[in-house]
Amino acid sequence: MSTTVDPITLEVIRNGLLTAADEMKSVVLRTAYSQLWKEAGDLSCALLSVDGECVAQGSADIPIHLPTMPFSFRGMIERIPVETMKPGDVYIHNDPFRGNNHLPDFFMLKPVFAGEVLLGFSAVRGHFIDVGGNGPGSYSSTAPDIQAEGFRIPPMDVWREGKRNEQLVALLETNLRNPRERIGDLHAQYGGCNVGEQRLQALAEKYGADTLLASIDQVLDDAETVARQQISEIPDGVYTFEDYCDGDGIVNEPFKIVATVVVDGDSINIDFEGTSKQTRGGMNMALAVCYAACVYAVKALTDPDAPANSGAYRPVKVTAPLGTVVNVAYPGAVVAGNHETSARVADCVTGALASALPDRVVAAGAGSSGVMVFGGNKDGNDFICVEMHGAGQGGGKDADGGNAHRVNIANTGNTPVEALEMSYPLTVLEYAITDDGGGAGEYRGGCGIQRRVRFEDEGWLTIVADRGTVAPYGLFGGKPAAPSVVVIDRVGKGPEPLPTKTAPLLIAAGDELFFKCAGGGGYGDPANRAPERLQADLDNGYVSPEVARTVYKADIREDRDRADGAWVVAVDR
Amino acid sequence: MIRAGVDVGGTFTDVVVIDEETGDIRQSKVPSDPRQLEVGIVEGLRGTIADEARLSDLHFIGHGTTVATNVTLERTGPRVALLCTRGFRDIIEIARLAKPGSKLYTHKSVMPEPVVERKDCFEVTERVAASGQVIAALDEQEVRDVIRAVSDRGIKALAVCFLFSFRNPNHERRVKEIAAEVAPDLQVSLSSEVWPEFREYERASTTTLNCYLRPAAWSYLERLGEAIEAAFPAANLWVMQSNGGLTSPDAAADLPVRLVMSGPAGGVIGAKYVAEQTGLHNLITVDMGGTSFDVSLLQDGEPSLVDQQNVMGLPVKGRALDILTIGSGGGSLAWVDGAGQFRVGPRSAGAFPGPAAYGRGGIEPTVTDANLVLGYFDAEVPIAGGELTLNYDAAYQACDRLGKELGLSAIEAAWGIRSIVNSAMAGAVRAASVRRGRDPRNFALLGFGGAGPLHSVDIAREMGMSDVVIPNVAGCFSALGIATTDVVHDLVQTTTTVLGKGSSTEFTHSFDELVAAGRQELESSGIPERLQQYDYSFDLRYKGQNAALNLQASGPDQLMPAVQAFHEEHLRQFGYNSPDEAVELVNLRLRAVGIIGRKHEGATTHDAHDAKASGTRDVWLSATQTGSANIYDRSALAPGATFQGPAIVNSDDTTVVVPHNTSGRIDDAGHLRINLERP
Repeated sequence: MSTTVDPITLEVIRNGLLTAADEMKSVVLRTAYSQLWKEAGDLSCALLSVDGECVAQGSADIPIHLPTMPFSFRGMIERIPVETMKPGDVYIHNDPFRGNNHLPDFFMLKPVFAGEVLLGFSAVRGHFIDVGGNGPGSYSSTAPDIQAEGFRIPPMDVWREGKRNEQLVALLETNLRNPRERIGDLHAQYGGCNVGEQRLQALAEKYGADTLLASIDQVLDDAETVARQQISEIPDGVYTFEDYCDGDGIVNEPFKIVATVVVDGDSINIDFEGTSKQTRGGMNMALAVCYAACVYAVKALTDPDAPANSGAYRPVKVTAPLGTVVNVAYPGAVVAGNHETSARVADCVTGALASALPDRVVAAGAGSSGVMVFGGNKDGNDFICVEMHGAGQGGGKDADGGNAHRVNIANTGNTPVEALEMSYPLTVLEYAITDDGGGAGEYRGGCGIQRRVRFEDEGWLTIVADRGTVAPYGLFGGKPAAPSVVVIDRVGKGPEPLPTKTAPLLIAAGDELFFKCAGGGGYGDPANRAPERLQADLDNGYVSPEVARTVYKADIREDRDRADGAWVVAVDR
Repeated sequence: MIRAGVDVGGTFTDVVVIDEETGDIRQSKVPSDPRQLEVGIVEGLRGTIADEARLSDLHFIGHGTTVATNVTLERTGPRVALLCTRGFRDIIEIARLAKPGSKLYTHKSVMPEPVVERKDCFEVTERVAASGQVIAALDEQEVRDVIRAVSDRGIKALAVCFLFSFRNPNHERRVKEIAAEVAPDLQVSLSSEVWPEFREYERASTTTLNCYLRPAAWSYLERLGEAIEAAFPAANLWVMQSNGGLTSPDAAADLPVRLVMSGPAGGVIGAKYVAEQTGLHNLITVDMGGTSFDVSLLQDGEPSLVDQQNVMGLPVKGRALDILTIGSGGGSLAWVDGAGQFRVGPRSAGAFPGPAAYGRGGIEPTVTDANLVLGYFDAEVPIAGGELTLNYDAAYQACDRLGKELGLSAIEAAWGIRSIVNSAMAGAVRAASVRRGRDPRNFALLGFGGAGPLHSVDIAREMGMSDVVIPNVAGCFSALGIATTDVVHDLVQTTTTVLGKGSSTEFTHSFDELVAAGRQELESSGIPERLQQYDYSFDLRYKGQNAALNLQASGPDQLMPAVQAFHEEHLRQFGYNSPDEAVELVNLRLRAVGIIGRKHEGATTHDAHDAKASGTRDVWLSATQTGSANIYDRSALAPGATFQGPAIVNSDDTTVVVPHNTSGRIDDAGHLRINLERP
């Protein structure tokens, strides 16, 4: 593209692209049917360049959804060449072996034209709450291969020149649970793609297609320039870190992820030689997802505030041996690797760079989405409830880790307790911050959350969590967080611990689940924690008196007359 | 008789006084003294009415206040306790679990800080099911213990948020009764009273914020009430709420969470008045000050409303005017980023050091500097209500320095600053219109605030709009709105009922309760029955959807016409509808109105005549071309006066830019109308 764009027009177009991506998201959220979209927001919107690079994304979108966009795009055009695309066409696929995240994520793509000229693409990736297959919610990591994980859709048109592909819709309605809700979400996704199209066309009409195309290239190039400047500030070196996941629910033994991060001037190469062979169950990921986790970690340590786009990711190269958990070979299953193992990838890259960037890194956060899926069929209607529990940030230099919020590569929120109970046959008995949930440290890790639920009707329960065996790490003398705990308490049987990943379990009315997710690790020696911070921890109940004494080595005494709390830290320590 | 509107801001108190017999409007700005705002208000009213003999004619004082906003900005509220259902004391800290969109890649300190600490969050045994049925009785002994513990800590405010209290408020109400016995001085806010709608976190957040704001609101409104009573015994004081309606000072002090948009709301309601006067019923309002830019939209003369706002990053539930704010103002700074890109904002020069032209040490160019360099301000004349004159050379040098970094001349840099900030503001206008399914080309743009009239025409042009209105009290416009509006109480009741084919009679009963509550609110404010009006609406959605649409109804039993309108509105806003799908009734809404506002009366028509310019000045028409602009003095322009752009219209409180290829005229109501179509 030879056209140069004046700086004023460029800035105007750059803002227009970002506004457009936000606008796409707001339309999808307002028209969606599933609680997971409308309350928890598990979807992402983007505008792609003609080459499929992500140029603008919604400001609150899911980090693991976005850097994979170009991979999903390339998977799409292998089967549907760009030159065959027409205005009004909308395409879809959900295939992890074509650059998608995992089967539940539907990647929808709409080419945008101004007359004959291709301007780019609008794309929406949304987590479909069910894709058929193994149990309501299609979420068990115990499915043995990709075919068992659900309905796998190759790249195909879902709207052709504005007309819906009824054959595909019929297939979806037949294969997915709660089809009414699914097709409602599909339409919401379509509405988002259309808004992206309209905004790109309006920019082309106003500034000319050539100027728009040149601006898109420039926005990407500028982001690369800034990213390279930031990376240059990291000391050159070879940094290695390893960390573990609990297993896949078929084999409940930890497996290893090893990241070797090479910082060389203004570029970074990350390799995963030494990482465990792929699991039989769904704890694997496509290389696209591994790449997304790596660039997330790099961006968070270099330039967290700038709007993310593919240009900023150009300086990062990621390689991994085929057939490992981070670069799955067919027919490996992937459903949980998408956010469980990939969270560990980000933890490894962050941990590797800790010695290079001690002031910027934080200790490991929750490191798991902590997914509970409860589904069934009541009075002839499918119901599927999906809730996340992973929360708690690791401590960092001069800052405690935040309590009870999502961290790392995922940002799906929760559903209000009142909305859950109005929609599903369950009662929430407790929803709370975990006791001593954060790793001890001079800067404490954030506490996670725990929930106790009673199921009021028969159904199937699937758990996908992690950090039950190897807890989130601390840094520079900080302690690891408390690990995840999952317990089922069946009517008449009493409590029984579960692994962090399960097959779909048959639930009877009255059964109870206790689900506690790991928090974040601590940063720095707990003995150095400032007394006033520890006092606040005791008063707020983030740290128990026992831990204050044994781990923080604090001199505390009891004062039953003190209104704000009975435990007092002696200041002269 | 005389009615008045008073809008108190951080720097100025704006007063507008309307003579109800003659329709004459007088306005003035007086400096605000944050330590005794009530003194400024009384003096401002006296000064504006001027005639001592007429002070007793003042019967109505509408008041827009920043008391709630200031507490939130400065976080000066008191320690607050929260009481929850056993097992749920952490709802306020868990919130919605997700990080704010702007902090997705940030590791440290990402969440907004709640106004209540975890140690002050308590639990008691009680539980109501989704059906409203009690499944665990309230343990009253535990309630007593908690109230004593709260009092022992010296805490004076308690928020109560039990699960499903919007379905069955009895347990929350019982807590209030017990508190009245055990600790009569404890102020208790119940979530079922503050906003009885589902979503426990948002409800708890709203209720705790209400506690947080109440002491400041109480003491301020009490002092103000006394000062007004002493100075104007015949006058009733009313307080502006976020929903654009007034309420009594007592009700405002009880529910200060309804006051967070009290100031900006006045501008939107002023727009409603202008819509009636001009017959322009579709208006987009733009209010630009030093640090922020507010946009709102009126369709068919009615402002849009939202059900949730964010205050300090925390959700506040309740009906509020839909005002979209971005950080663009006269003080927004221009800069060059790491990749050499030209940026404007979001950083602002604020009042200190302020724009380079203020000569207080600012060296980076702001939007105000750009406007000065381009010739839109008169460098000789002091700016609004002060002694400060603008320094052209300082502004020029700032633009020149920035231009050198970008390979642009000073003029090109200034033109660029203006273009970029205009496009950012146009983006906000687009968000407020197109994103809500409205085509801005069907609207006129109403510009006010100190800096709004400088940019209004350019924003309108960027949006393809052809009519711009600059009202005759552009600088004190919020005070005008406050002087002309009604008492409004919004009430809600969550129902969540899937609509079958049967009749809607079962829903009228629920409205009866809301009407009774609304009537009580109006009557406690002294609104007689003949001035009471009740507007009914329904929140509807397709079963399984989330966001509901609000549909007006002509009566409490007019549900079915609202359902029909819902299908049409869904198609318009979202591009599709599904008339065969089941529709769910989510909320009943009642707007109880006390009709005390001033209604517009027809104005006499005036013949067109050429306006007389007070001088001419060269201004930049583009980055490369200058032209001679006529300068007009706003106070000398009578209704019917017409003129061609390029022109600058000066008044005490603002400057209007009328570019070339546009024409201006003063309409019969005295507003400046600018037409963008080539004359």
